[in-house]
Amino acid sequence: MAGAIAFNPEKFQTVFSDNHAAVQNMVEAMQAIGDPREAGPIEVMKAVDVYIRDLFSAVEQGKKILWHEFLFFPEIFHGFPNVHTWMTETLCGFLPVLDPEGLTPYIDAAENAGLPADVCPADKGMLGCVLEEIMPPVAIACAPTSPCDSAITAYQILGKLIEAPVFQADMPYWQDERGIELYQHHIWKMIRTIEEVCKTRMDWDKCREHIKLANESVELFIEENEMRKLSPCPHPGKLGFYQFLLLTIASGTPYARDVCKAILEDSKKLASQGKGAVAEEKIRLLMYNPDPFYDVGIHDWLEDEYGAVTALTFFGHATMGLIDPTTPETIVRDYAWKMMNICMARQYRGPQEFFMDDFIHAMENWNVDAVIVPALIQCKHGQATHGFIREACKERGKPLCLVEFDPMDPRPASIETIHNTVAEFLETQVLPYK
Amino acid sequence: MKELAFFQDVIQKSSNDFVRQWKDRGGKVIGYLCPNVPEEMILAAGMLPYRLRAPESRDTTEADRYTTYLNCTYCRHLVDEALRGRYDFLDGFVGTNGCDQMRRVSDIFRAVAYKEAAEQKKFFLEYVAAPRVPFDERSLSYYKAELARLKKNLEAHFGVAISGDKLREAIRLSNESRRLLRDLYELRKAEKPPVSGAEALSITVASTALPKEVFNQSLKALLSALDGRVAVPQYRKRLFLYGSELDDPQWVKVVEDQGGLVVADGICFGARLFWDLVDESLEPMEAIAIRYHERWSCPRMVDQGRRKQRIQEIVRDWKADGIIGERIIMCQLWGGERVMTSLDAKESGIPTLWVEREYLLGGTGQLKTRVQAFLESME
Repeated sequence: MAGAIAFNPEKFQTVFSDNHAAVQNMVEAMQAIGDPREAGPIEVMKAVDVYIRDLFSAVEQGKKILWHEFLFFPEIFHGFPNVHTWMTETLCGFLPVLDPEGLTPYIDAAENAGLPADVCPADKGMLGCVLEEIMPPVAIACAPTSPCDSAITAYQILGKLIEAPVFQADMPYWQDERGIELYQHHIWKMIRTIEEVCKTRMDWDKCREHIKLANESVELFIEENEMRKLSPCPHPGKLGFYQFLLLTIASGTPYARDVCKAILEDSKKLASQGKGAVAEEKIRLLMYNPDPFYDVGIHDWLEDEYGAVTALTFFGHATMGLIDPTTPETIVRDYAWKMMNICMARQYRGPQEFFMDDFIHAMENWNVDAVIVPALIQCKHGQATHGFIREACKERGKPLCLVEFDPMDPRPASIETIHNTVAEFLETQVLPYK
Repeated sequence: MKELAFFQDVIQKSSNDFVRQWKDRGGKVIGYLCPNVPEEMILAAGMLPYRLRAPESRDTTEADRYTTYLNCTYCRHLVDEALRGRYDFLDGFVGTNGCDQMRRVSDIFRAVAYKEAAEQKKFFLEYVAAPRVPFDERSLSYYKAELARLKKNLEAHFGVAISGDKLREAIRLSNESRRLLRDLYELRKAEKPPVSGAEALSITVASTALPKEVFNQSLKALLSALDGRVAVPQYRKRLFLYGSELDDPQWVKVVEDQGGLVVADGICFGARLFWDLVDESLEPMEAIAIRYHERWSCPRMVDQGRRKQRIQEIVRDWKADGIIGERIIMCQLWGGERVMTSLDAKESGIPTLWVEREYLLGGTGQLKTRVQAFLESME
């Protein structure tokens, strides 16, 4: 690595055009399959199509592109005129969905540049994309000091790689009033920095409209969460993954709201018909940590092979609240609180109770028979939580499978290996006792 | 040299005779892991702050009921020692969010190792959550509030009063240690320093394991006795040592035995521990908070630019020929710092080598080979 990496319009166009086409092809393929479980994911991928097209337009128009980490939902940034948002880890999220090894060249690029293999693949992938010059142009990058050490260091590295400022907001440790005070202070500071760097001013009326849309999405997401308590669970296990990724890139947009609305309406329709993701629901699972991005189809396999529906996933757990859009002060304060409570930001910081309380709540309230915890190999605080997870499952009589893999790279643990581990678990620890 | 041997001996084990004597006199010992927990707070409470290490740990079987092979060995060995009851000299522990894995060490101490004792009020458990953005007034306020809570709870648990005067005296004592250590490090600017890097590390580690008065007195005696001493008459290159938690002088000795003399460092049990003083002109709690929040940071703080500048100044002033970086495997923060210092090194032209290690000394053959090759590349 050497020096700042400038925007490479040719590489960006090539890679993004290819991936844009891949997204469109994926939508067509999913539609052609005609599996009702694909209904929600199809809507999400159509939204990704819109997201990419909007990015192309923004780049063409020379708008300032604001990169935001996935734990800064974009609704607040939509209040800046002439600023377009790009979720920095977008490619990390969607490349493995399009192709299991889609992110691996970028992970390798980051490792070849000296980043150890034991850093989170989201951060390796993100930095690798920057190193390979495929990212859109950047006016400013914004990230919280969350969810973990890997992100904290990755954004410091990013600051040395790009010709743009990187703003890191100090995510508080505790979940209290003092924490909100700290975080909202940093978000105000971020807003002022964006205004200065992008030569713009926050339009609070515009922002308010996007906040309201974001609120609608959250309400719909929360309600979908509740629907998943039903037996049969109306929607497939993979939906939470898609829905969360959608919100990370497009929260606050009309199309994200519309997708959430369509998902909930479909959920209610299925529930009214007594239909579920599987014809005969035999097992209800909790999967509490990120799904394998390159094998979200693991849920389809569980459903088809074992009649096992993942009633709740980590990404699908709606833990955030609403934002009072009344004044700039209420917007920033409630945005701070929301960002402290979205998936990962909430559970991965603080003491182990922040993870365990939500985990136990999910275990006890979604009527699950067994628990699968993706034991992400690079997630250090996660690895050191396994003892607590085991104890909690034992206390509640829930069989537990801790399955090790890299969430964005299928090479350390292949799809087959993961399936075999889960299969052995279900066949020996769950089914015989059902 | 007996003045030096004193420091080397006192850090051999997880505890030492001075801790035992302290306890025998009815003194309390408070353990901590990371300097985000200001030692002055504990000193002012009349207690001995003791930075935990695990030099006697040999496996992590007990720890691995909670940690895994994918966690750093420093944390795993600490947890193992705690679960085996080897920190039985402690009366309390103050955890902090130095890093993700250290957070979990604190969690395991609280929820498992010391749970029963804490519930019976026989063991003091507290936590200081340190923000990550320095030179921000609100982040500093957050940290100040954490320290205020620590003070209040120390007072309540132990029935002591931590007055302004006691804090000032604690600051004075700690600053004295820091000044003495700076004096020691100044001597290492010489072409033939009186102490090696390994010897210096034994001294700085000892500063976290002894009553302050004992340490200060012993270091003064050493400084007087060093006159004319040459630690290493011949060496090949001068090195700046940077990286993860390292409390084992033997590791540094392996490097130095290849001919690379460590003349300065930026490690957690080394210079970063003492480099910055507490401002004695300010209100003590304010002064402590500012010093600890804005000191020479580790990669958990988002101010790599300042770290880069500090490294370049020290490399220049101590005439280091190159930088040796070391990372405990599985440490993500230092993994990232490695990338950043390598980028800086390309810019500055300072030869830099990064090596990976485990907490306990091992793989010395490989280390020797790499250091030899590095030194050759600079010749």
